[in-house]
Amino acid sequence: MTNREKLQDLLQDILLLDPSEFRFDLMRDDVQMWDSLAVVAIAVGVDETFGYHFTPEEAMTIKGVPDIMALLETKSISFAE
Amino acid sequence: MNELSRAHIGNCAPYAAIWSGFEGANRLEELPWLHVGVFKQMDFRTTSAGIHHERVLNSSATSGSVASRIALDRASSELQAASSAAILSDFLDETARPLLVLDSSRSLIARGTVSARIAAALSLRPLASDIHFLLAEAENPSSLDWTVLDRLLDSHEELLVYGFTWMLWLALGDCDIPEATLERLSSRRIRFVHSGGWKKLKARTIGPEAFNTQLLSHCGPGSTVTDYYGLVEQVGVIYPLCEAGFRHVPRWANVLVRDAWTLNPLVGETGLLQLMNTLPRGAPYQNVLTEDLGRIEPGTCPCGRSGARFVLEGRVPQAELRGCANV
Repeated sequence: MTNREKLQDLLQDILLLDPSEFRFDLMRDDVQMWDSLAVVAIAVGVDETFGYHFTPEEAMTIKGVPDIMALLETKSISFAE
Repeated sequence: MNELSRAHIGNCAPYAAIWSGFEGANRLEELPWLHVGVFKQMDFRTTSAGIHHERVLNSSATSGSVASRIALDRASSELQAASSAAILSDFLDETARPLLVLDSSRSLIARGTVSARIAAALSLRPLASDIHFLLAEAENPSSLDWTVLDRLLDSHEELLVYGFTWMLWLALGDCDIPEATLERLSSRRIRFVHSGGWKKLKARTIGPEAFNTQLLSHCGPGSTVTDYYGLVEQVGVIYPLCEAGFRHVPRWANVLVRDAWTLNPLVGETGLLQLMNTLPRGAPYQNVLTEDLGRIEPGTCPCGRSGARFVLEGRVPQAELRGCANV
């Protein structure tokens, strides 16, 4: 499974999205379930899946899926297709 | 509280049906209130411009009972998080350390709801650098993943550990901790925080003193245990037990005691605790009469904290064993 697939699975699970609703350019404002609890769930899920835990400051800057990928790319976790 | 009560009456039809005649209170006991049991029977939601409802907070109902349902909203949640952090920071310093939760991370994923346990755990988040879940199965304390705990013990001098009282006891008190973990624990400062009450430990005849002694016996110098009382119907306002055995009321909250039969306010006597706070915007849970017994204590507390304080004395006899009250 690629990192893109792992991230998609994780976010679909947390944000209760069907595969057809998921996009890699999805933003927080587009998803009703992306509330403060989902922010924590994403931080915990990313840690359990990729082994990196966002700092509280990093978690605050996440406005969408591209931000998650960009942050993880800085930790050498690649999302190249 | 008058303004808040009017706002709920004006924008929450079920609440208005109960308190339609309210014109204003001159004393705390005249303010509109609801019995905690009503939140099991009715859904309250205050709707007006600027209120964005999010999830529903469910109490951890005991088997066969009905859970309370509290409609959370964005603005109140922010106030409630700040409130919990302010209260707890008086008992735990603000050192950044990982928060370990005795629950499964799967509990974070629930369709439109949040459990009392997750809400309680997340109230500690402002006092933590990061958050980790220790259990593979949410309701099974013996499913603790020792490798996660060992990894965090290896990399941090101090850890914050939250769990419901009974789960903390079964996971890290009355259990066989692996030797390797015991060795790591012995040199680390562990700040245990628990809530949810003692009723599930009643059969084990374990009291607070033995509970604390056993937990701390594994841990390094400076480790502490903090026990707090709170209700989902008063989310955001929690009452840690101080060193002198009292619960202190923050400035944005208040407590009344009422006679269980007449509902008349009592001074200096034991009765039903009525808890109120100024935080809830999305539903009228700002003032609730509980099924818990307590007594307001006059004077200054030996612990040095000022303001109102009370003693929590137990439950009303034959009251339903609720999952979220710490009695």
